[in-house]
Amino acid sequence: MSRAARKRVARDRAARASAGHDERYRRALVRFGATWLALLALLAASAATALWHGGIGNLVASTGIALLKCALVAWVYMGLREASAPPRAAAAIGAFALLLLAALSLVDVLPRRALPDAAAAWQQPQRIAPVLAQAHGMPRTSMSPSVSPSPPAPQSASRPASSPLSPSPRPSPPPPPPERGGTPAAPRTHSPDLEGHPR
Amino acid sequence: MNATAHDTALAHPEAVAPVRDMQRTPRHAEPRLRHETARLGMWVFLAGELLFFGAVLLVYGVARLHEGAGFAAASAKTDLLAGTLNTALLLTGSAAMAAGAEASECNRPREAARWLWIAAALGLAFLAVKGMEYRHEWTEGLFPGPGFAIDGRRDRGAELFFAWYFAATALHALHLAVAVALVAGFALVLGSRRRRHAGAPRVHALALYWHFVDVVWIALYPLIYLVAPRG
Repeated sequence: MSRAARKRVARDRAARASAGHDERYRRALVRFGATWLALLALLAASAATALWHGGIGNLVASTGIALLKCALVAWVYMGLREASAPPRAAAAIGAFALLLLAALSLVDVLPRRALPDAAAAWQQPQRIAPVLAQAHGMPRTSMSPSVSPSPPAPQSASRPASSPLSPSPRPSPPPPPPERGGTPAAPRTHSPDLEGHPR
Repeated sequence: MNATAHDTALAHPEAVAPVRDMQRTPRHAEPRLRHETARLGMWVFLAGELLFFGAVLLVYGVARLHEGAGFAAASAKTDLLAGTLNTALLLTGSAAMAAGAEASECNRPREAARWLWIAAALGLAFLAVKGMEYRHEWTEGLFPGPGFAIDGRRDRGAELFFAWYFAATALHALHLAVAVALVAGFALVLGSRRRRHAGAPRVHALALYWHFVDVVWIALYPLIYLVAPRG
């Protein structure tokens, strides 16, 4: 093939590639523009929920719209739409790990009863025990390392009204029956835990 | 290598060349595979960042379960208009970054540079609006601490909300600032003669990072500004 012919072939190949790129670029701009408009519409809907008194519906609507926007960004902008299997797997594993983190954390947190306002979870046990004892009408005891805090009784008056998901409090267990005959029972060395369950 | 093999290599270098090529990682020999590797690497990094911000959101969820009224009162003090404007800025910046990455892949470096400059400007506008919000909240006495007061009274739940708010938005702003700096740097390189240093795989990886920062803000927006109805 002569030098001129080789140049002509290379020029035609570049022109075809350029035309292909132009078409691809134009279609991508249309796709991104449409997605941008959809995202702005969802944003307007999300802001509009601030004017709607829908109770729990507000949380459902705003969270649902946010998830939809995230999915649009991930699918179109981040290229998951045309990505191969490994990037999609990485994204799915990340999302699954996040769900696992949330589920296991809420399993720990949700069944806990709300403590009285003065006894917060981050305070020292020595500060909590007298407050709980006073709240439940029991004699105040000084905290020692071998004594655990007494189990709290149901506190319906002090439960915050804004926590609809707080579980109902369980009643404290009945005291153990006295042993018959023989020597008196030795004092228990293991106190019940905060929930009132024997260790 | 013994003397006989060495003599052969000197006499017939084409026989040695295939061995030398095999010593390099084959993936680096193909642009498409380089692109795939860069993309997968960035996705793995973003999966880790998702867990990092996910923990921040989880803290919010647990705190809101226990202090719903305080959170609602505090959220009513945030500037919904500024938050909505910021979200619109980031969404537009994401569109610009996506267009810039596509322009880079279609061998249009100057157009890619223009899109990246637009994204960087929108990111800077976001940070400016956020700074004005912080200033307003500081003057209103909404920064957690001894001087915190909401409607003239102390509210533990509201203070907890604002403690989380400042921590989460500061973390997000830090990520966005890094993204803006990188985008501006890439835009400079793409517009210069050294544009081969800002190849399509790198621009695409940077765009992924930018979109992730946008996704984080999309998740934060309803948690900060839409806790309870207004008006």
